[in-house]
Amino acid sequence: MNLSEHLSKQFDADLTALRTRVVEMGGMVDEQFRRAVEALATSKTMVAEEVIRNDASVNALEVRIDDACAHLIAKRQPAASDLRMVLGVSKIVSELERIGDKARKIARLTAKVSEGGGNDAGWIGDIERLAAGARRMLREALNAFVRSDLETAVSVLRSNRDFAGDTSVVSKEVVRRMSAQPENVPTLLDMLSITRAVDRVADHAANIAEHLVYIVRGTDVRHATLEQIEKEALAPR
Amino acid sequence: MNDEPRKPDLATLAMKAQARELNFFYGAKQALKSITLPIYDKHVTALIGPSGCGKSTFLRCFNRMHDLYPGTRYEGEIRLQPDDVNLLSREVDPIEVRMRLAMVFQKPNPFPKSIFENVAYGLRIRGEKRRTVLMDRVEKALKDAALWNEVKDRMDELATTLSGGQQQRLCIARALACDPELLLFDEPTSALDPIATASIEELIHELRQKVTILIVTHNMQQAARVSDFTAYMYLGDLIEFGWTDDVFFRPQKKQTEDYITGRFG
Repeated sequence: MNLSEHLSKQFDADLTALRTRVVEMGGMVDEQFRRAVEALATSKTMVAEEVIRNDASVNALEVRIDDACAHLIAKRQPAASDLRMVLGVSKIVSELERIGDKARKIARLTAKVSEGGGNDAGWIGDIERLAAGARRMLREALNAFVRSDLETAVSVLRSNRDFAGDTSVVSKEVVRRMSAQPENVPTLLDMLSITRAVDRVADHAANIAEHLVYIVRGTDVRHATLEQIEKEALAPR
Repeated sequence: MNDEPRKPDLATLAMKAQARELNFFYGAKQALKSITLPIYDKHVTALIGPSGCGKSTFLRCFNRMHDLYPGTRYEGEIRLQPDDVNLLSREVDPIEVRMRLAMVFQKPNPFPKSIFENVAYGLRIRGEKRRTVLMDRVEKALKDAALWNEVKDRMDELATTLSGGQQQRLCIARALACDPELLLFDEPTSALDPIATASIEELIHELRQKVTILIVTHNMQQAARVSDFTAYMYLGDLIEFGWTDDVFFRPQKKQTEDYITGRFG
């Protein structure tokens, strides 16, 4: 990343504002996700309803940041690392918005799962543990973005590989219970949706890490293997 | 999915010219430092860099314009293909060089003659006297310069009655009339409004199928729009040369990156 200053101080200020808003949005969706899982674990439907209401603010911030990206392109015609930053930010806010959607989804299912008796300690414990892992990845991805730190970005991608295995175990257990408790299938389906939503949050965090590789190195690694990404991101420049 | 067109391997591209370890001096002051740069045939190469970086000096070496001023000195070579002639050699007559190359300047500089005579001028000094040949060549050049429809009914009017953008296209037609092998553009649109600029850029886009173009521009977006290759120069050095797509998206050198992103102080 090129962090030296532009001749135009306003251009610097615009780019800094863009990055700051991404971090602000990251903090917002992290909090939404945390509260959605908390509402699920404690059956606090009022908290869940608040999460659902707050999603509009997340969406509004996504629109504002995308709009700022479009204006920056129109006014400044950014090139090279600046252009990649603007394009990357636009992609990152999409990922963050989807994390917000997952928080809302969990919040929407909270009341149903609670009423259906799905919030048993075992599964809730798994979800809390997985959610903590997904949040850690999200925060690491955002920290990597702030510092243009590709080592941390790669570590997020490594974590996501292990994470997919963990969520798969939890999902399989829910599916196993469907055949054992056919009368509970509607609730178990909601629990499966929540498990998958948590898994998707980690995926979006990993996508943010991939977008950072694009911003810093100019290489699109979205469909590359972890080994290829490590090679690209960690090669000395 | 990657929609970016695959770039051909550079080794498979024909070169129209190549500067080899070119040094140039204005008296004791060295303005170009060991420039080695390929100019690929039927492609557009843009030269960018801050004022004083040597890009116009480099361009003017090609048609030996510096010969017109005392105290200047070339070292190294500029080889023109296909005959591999060194344009800078003392044995090569600069008049001969200028017969093969054509230059278009920053400000349109039509002669105070009719539109027709402006375009026919180069042909006449090459000895062409046949009226029908002159008329055909002038019409073709004006069509290639996308000016024919605007001037076909006023060929005897003074060229200076044309608008700035039309005058610049007339200068391009004048250059094209003699079938140059290499077209040299020295900031060809910096005196023009955005519409005239767009028409010249469109013209460059079409001309590259027929002729090799080397263009100096201060407008980086223009370089990005019109060229296939970009060379970034700084204080007489060639800093980076490559496909324009790469130079503007993923430059290899920090100096280039700083310049094209506006961090150059």
